[in-house]
Amino acid sequence: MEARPLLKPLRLVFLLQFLCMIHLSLAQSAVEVRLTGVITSEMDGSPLPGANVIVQSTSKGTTTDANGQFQLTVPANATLVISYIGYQSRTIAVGNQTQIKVALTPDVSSLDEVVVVGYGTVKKSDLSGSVATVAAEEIKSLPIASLEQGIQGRVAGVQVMQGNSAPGGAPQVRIRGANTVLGGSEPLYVIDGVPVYNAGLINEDGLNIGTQPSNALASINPNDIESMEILKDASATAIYGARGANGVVIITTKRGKAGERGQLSFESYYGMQQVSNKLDLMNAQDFIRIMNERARNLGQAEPYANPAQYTTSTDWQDLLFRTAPIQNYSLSYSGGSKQNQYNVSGNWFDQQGIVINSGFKRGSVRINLDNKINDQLKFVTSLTASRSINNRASNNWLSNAFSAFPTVNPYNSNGGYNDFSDSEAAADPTNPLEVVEKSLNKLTVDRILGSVMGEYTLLEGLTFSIRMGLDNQNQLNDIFVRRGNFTYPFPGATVKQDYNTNVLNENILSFNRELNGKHKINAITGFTWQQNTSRYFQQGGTGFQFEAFETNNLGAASITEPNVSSKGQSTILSWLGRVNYVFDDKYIVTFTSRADGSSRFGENNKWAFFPSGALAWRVSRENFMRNIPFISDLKVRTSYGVTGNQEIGLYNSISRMSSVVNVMGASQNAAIGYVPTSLANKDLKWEINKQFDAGIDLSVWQGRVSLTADYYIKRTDDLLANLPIPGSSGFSTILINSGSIENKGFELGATAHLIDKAFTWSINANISRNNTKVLDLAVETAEFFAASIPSPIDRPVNIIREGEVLSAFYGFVEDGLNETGDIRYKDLNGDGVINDNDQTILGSPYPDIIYGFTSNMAFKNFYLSIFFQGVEGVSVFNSNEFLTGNSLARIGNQLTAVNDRWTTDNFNPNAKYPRASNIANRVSDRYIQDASYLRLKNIVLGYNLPAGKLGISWLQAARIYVSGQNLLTFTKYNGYDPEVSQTGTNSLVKGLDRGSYPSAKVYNIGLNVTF
Amino acid sequence: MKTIRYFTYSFLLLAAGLLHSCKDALKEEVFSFVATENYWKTEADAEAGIIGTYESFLSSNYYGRFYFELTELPADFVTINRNDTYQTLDRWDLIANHPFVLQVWNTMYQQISRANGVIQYVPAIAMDEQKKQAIVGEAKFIRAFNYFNIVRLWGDSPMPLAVIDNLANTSLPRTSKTQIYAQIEQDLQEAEAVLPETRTGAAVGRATSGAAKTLLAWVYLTQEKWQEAASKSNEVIGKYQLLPKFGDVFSGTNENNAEIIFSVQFDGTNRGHSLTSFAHAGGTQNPNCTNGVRVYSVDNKSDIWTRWDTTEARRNFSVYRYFTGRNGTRQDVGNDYPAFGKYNAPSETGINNSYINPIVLRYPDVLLIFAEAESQAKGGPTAEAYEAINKIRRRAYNLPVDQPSATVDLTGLSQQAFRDAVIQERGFEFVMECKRLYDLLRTGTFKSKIQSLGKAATAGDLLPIPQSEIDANAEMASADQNPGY
Repeated sequence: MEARPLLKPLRLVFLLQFLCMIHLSLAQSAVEVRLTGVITSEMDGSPLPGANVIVQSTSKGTTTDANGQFQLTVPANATLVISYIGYQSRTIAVGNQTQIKVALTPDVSSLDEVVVVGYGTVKKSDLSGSVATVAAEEIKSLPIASLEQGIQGRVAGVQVMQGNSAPGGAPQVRIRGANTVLGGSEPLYVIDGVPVYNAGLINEDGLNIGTQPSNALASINPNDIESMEILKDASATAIYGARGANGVVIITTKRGKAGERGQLSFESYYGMQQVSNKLDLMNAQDFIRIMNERARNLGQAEPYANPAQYTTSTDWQDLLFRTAPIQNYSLSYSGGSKQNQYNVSGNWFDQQGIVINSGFKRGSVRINLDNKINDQLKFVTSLTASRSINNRASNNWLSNAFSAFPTVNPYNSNGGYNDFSDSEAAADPTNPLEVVEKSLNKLTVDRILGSVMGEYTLLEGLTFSIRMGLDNQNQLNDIFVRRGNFTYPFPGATVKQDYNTNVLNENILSFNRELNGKHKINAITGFTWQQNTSRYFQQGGTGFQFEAFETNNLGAASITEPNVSSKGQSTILSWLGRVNYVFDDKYIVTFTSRADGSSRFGENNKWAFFPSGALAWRVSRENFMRNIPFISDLKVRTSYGVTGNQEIGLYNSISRMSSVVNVMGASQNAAIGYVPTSLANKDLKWEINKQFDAGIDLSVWQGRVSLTADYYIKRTDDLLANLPIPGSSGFSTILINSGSIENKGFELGATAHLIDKAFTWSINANISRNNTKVLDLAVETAEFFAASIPSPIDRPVNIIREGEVLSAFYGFVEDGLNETGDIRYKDLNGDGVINDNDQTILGSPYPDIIYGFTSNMAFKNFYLSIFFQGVEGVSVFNSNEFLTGNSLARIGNQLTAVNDRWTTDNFNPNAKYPRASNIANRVSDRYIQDASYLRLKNIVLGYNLPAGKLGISWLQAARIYVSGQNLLTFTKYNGYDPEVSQTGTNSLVKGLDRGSYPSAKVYNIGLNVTF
Repeated sequence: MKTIRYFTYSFLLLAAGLLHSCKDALKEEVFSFVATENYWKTEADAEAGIIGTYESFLSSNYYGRFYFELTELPADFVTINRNDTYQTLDRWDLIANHPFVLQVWNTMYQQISRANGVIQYVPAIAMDEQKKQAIVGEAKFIRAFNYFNIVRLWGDSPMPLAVIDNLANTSLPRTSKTQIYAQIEQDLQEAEAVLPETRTGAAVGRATSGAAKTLLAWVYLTQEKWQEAASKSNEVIGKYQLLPKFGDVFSGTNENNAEIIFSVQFDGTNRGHSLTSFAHAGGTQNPNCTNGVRVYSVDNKSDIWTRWDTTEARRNFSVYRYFTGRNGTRQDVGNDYPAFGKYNAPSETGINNSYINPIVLRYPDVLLIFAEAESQAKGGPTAEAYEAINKIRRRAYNLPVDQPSATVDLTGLSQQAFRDAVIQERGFEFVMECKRLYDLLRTGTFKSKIQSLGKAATAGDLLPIPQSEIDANAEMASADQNPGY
């Protein structure tokens, strides 16, 4: 009775507490939101599984599932941080949304991203040199035969020129301009750790104007590539010493990732190619008219007395062109556990050529393994094997086709190939169709490229690795000419074989530690050995009774050609070291050095030393920068270093006698003699390249816009040069090191995410300008010419002269037509005579400016990607027009444009072409034409099937797309394609369009499925 | 710590070991060549060395092709209808950087350099003395032949007589013509003493004493040393014979026949040339070649088309307008650019695979040198001189060589008229054999002759020293160029 009053206040307290709790919990649930969302990749809208979604400044978060989706309870107005390996992190304010969709940009400039540099990796934020990355995403759906084509237009400062569009043809790659005159100009490619130099295959002539140049990189499957890093400045390339002067392209192939389940993925595309541009040639009636006119002008009898009987015209180009398919099928499986990861892939690529009887096929297999034996020891294995078969085209095919008369039929009345009489034929009287259909030039390349690296962790941060690498290429070239060749009318077979084995051993000690939180040290030192052995064989014969044998029974030849074989070997030994020191994530110092000993160098100069240094300052991490929040990252950097070029050929420093084949005796047999080959130079050494680079990396608005700019000056000294010596000494040149060449330029690259909502749009652009100038030549006259272009031009077109761009065009300047309708040339030296002294520089085969522009848009599951690429300020010598736009100076079909010519009827002094006659035309500014262009290189429209929604559990992702390549080209150039340079990559003859294989428009459809 | 030390030491040891062996690893091993220091040791080296020296003749810059461009186009008989690089030689308005001039200059000096190697290194080899002398003699013959061409085409020129193996020694000054001729005569006199008279078997095609003597007679003739020329050529008379039919001399199946003194050996397969298809016309219809593309043409204003007796068998073999095609019909190559019939290779397998051996010296050389020299030495033609030239004329008409012929024999000519007749006979006999230019040069009638055919002839009296030579040669300045360039 007295106890009761005590409970009342307690009950009240409990009630109050309870009410408070309810109130509080209600309040809490009022400030928490259940959020769902999906995280996708901005490139193509594909979902990102395993992305992290975290509430900012808390540890509360989740990861996305296989469909990129997540669910999370978040406080109202929360801010989320979304991140994913390989992509830029995003910070999103949720606001009152309950459903969000966030697109992440594949990282090219993420600061945490690891960048592959020579012999190791470096965090992007710690990088002090100029390195650009091309990710697999960017080249995944491009129908390309060879990986260099994927780099075109995507990296500032890197020019990739598809000089010849034949399938399997070799693009030329120049990083920051051409560094050398005679030495090799291609960059060094490092494929999964094995350095490979892409010289042309099969012992071909330097000038190599006949058959399309061949390409060693075409035996690597582009689909296997995970990323390509382009090392541009001396700080990045000095680690490659005597091979770094032309820049380095590091290629990393796809490796397996640890995960719950493996992945099986199938990628394919199928496309149709068509010639983008045909020459506009005369039909029969126009041709007859000009031929008769020419005869009248020369006082000869008209060759076509009865024009009316020619009712049809033969379009020889149409006979040679066809719509050709291109297709690619890749199947790969990958996956793994924490200890072992694997990635195995197989690929089949088949590109028929748009010119008949040409094409390229490749089958390849890749096995990549990462095996951790125990906590200290792991092995990395990369192995690829491929076979490619290339039916190569000859540039004579097209030259014959557009010179052939439209008045003759390809077939005769019996259905066989028509033989032309002398009066029906241009200089080469063979039937162009027969030449193409009845010749064989098949190049089969078998390649094995691989390495095994064992890495042992000695202590924390200290590892020792040994790598054994192998690059083995066997090439077999079957050449068979059945009939109808101007020079060889009888069936002839030749077989060439080239065996090339490249063996590598690297021993690297690397140290990677962070001390006291402020000092980061990343250092390597090592020793490498690489040896290259090549063997060459050639056999042939003519006079076969049965054409069907082709090259398969050389013993059946009635006349055997002499045997040829040779062997060569070269070795490089190197010591290398690099230290990268970062203080407080703000100040970066890098020092690199390499000592190379090469067997190619002369006795007196076997070893070379290449140092370089770089400094970088991450300004954005300074305290004073905290007031400028819109700048998320700002780094300024500069570097200076020395690299070398050892591509000076083998055996050039020693005095040698070689064999020659003479004929002697009553039976006229072969007799072998020995003669001195060259004047030796014991001092021969590498070319030395010094480069200065200054650059800025800027990122603003939390990474929405980022910029990279670089300025560089490169100078190559001790250029390899063929010093002309008096012919009266018995030799005409000696190889010495003398001369210099300079490249100066500016590069700018930018990425911007313009719109970031349900509809995303980002753009990526790069532009660069380079100026190549020859500073000094060994020759006393300060100039010399590249090789002569064969008949009918019979003279060189490129000059190498001090103070001018390398391989500048050189010729006469026209001054309209004179009173008799013939071309008048300017008398440039005013001596009253037109001769070789009235020539001048007419243009440059190297572009002033190269640029590329990509736009990526995505909306719901659709995506659209557009890529433009272009060059400015470049010229080409249109040698085709020398034959087809010469008013019959040399007999052959003409362009319809030649209908605008001076005639005795119109006396038109402004006519584009002179009167029809036999006056030989000269190499002049008429034929050195502007080849600047802007091209819509690639456009892709695709759709990602929402696999999750379809409820198919075994399907992870599926994508279908259509794309087009080279659909639009804006150019003033008159030939097939402004992007042309017929010769091999190391030839000094540049910018030559001589029956070059035309480029194609491609229409593609593709399907990628992941299980 | 111990682990680090262990690994670092073993790594350094490994490195040191490798470093020690690296000096050898970087020495270039040759597989497909011989280092010069290992050559010139045995008889085989000497033989192969001289065979290699002959090989320069086969170059496309010599008897393979461009020597013909350089010596036939400027003269009066041969013309061309191609681009300006060729036509400038035909018109004789070339300038010093003409590519063919440089190519031929370089190849002749290359052969001289190879010959110098033989002359310098072979004497030290232990081998049969007679064989050794003969090989050195061949090299001297070849060296003299080249200097003879050089001195006639270019005048004063560098005269290396030893092997040049160092960049420092490559610049030589122009040596005077007189000294060059003296050296030529010395080389040939030494050669004729040691060369064998005949060659058999596998040595057929190599130089003989007859070749050295004939060449020496020609050298004397060019210098107008008439008596020496007459005596020297007389030494060769009777050692060779004229084949009864002119056409047979150039037969592809009877190469190295009794009329030939020295020719350049080709077999069409291992080594071939393009002379056949280039000198013929008529395209693929022409049975005597693969494809008669008519690079070299008869100049239809010159004597060989306008003033040559069309009944002469030699004439109809040497130049033509009509021929019988492969299809059996008569073909006409036209009157504007007639063709040459001398180099026939019906079984050649390609345009560049002719097997016909271009002839350098043959018996008519001996007879005609004798005729001219004898007449000039004796103040007028003697009976022997007449007989020498008449043998040639009779053979030209397919008449018996040793029987006097009232219709074709020359008689009763003055000294000058006889000399003119010999020069004309030489022209007709040696069409497209690289001799006409030299005849015009030594008689001083070169420019007047081609001007009479309407050629510009604005260049100098001799070929220009190649501009590249002057540029590269420290001992030559632009002022040293031949006049007219």
